[in-house]
Amino acid sequence: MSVEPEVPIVQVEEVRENPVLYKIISSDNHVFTISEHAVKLSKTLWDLITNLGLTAENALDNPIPVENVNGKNMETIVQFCERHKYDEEEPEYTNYIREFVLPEWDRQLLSIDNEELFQLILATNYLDIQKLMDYCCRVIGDMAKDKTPEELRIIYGIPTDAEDDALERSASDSPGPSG
Amino acid sequence: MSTALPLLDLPNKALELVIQCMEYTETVGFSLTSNKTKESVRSLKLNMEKIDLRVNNIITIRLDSEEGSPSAMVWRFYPEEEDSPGPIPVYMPARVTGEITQRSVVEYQNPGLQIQEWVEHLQYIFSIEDIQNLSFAEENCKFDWNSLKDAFGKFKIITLFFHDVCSLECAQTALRHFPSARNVTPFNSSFNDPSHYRNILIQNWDLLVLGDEQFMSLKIGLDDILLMNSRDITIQSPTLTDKMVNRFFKHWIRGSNPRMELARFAFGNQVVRKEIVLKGLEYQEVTMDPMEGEGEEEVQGYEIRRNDGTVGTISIEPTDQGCDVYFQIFELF
Repeated sequence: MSVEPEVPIVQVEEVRENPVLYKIISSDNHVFTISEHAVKLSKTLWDLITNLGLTAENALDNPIPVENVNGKNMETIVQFCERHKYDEEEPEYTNYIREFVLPEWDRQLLSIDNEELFQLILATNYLDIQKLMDYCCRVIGDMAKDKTPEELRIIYGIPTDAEDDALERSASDSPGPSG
Repeated sequence: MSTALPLLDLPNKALELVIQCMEYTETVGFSLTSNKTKESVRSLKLNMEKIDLRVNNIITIRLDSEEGSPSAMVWRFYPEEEDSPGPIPVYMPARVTGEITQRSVVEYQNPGLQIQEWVEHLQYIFSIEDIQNLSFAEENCKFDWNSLKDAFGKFKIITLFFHDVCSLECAQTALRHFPSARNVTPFNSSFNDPSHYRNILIQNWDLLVLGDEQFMSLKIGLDDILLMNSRDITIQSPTLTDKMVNRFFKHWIRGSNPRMELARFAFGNQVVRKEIVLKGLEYQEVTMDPMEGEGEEEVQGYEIRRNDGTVGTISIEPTDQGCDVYFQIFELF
């Protein structure tokens, strides 16, 4: 079944070298096109495409609804995937994640406020895009540079042990489901 | 101002990646903010395997991995007043610095932990059970010994290490206050004359390392070696000779040094003649793997047998400085 978009299609990047395009609809009904190489960076989307049996012939007629990701995040995600679709695979972790330097283009892309970054990570996690997850986490990890434990508590919104205990108590005191 | 980024509300996978993106000093700071962050860091099983404590005018904790980590850290703990005359009790630190060598330094007010609590915290988050080295690096310890014992006596300390300037008296006092240590390593000219510390030689250490080309001119004699009751000894001394080692082997055959499992006699410029080392010994030639760190080619070994049937194998292995004579006791028949 094809879903009719309610808002204009957002053409993020024209892809001349790869004619296979897919349509994705965000939770707020924005429609995005994305190339095959780019969409493969999302394990979730690529599994979906494979399971739905979408092909070069029928892909554009069958937009994929993604109910957990809004248009703003999807736009960032599509930009990111198009940018990195031909990247070589990253080395396995160990020290790589600690030592890699975020490219400037990506740093600009991810220069967003904390609430947006948080939501973008949830979306990235849902769509299972490892590279974007690495990059987002690099941005968040970099916030710890030269900070004291108290500053880290504020930056990362970490409750004190007393606050955690109070939260736990109130959760255990609240009545359970009746029934 | 931007709102906080609720790190602990992220999916676990993301939380782990964020922590892995931090420098280890930042990770430690993060782990100090709550019990939950402490558990998060511990669950990552980060690669840090050794904790060393160093006592000089302040107390320092060093963390490293066995093979040497690029994230090796040194944490320094400063008192409120740095010029207090000793002996002083182990203080509540006012200020701490955490340094990754030649890369980054953090510095902040101590978040209310005693130094022993810092040790416990670091042990916990990196899952390290023992203190590898407790080292002393001042001529006379600035700290009150009972206070040091109260602070660190409950930890399982593997090695007591005495740096160059540490006096023999200070070292002897440390040995009395930390009797559970299993190894002793003095790189220290106060230990040049073994006749001044025979009480240390006769103790049943797991490892005793005596002599260092840079810091010592150890005057070892055969009688000193025969007093040693350690499982594993390393001796580097300009007075060590091939003849002395040969005589030691003859004593061993007759029953001396019964606890010994491994001995390394490190020769620098001295000439080591195989025929002198083996003179008068009944031995059987064998080929054996080289000692760890001494290359890969098999080496020639010479098995000798003690009167009780125990077999020991002598090998002479060249090094950059000269050569090492090893003596390994493998089994008891």
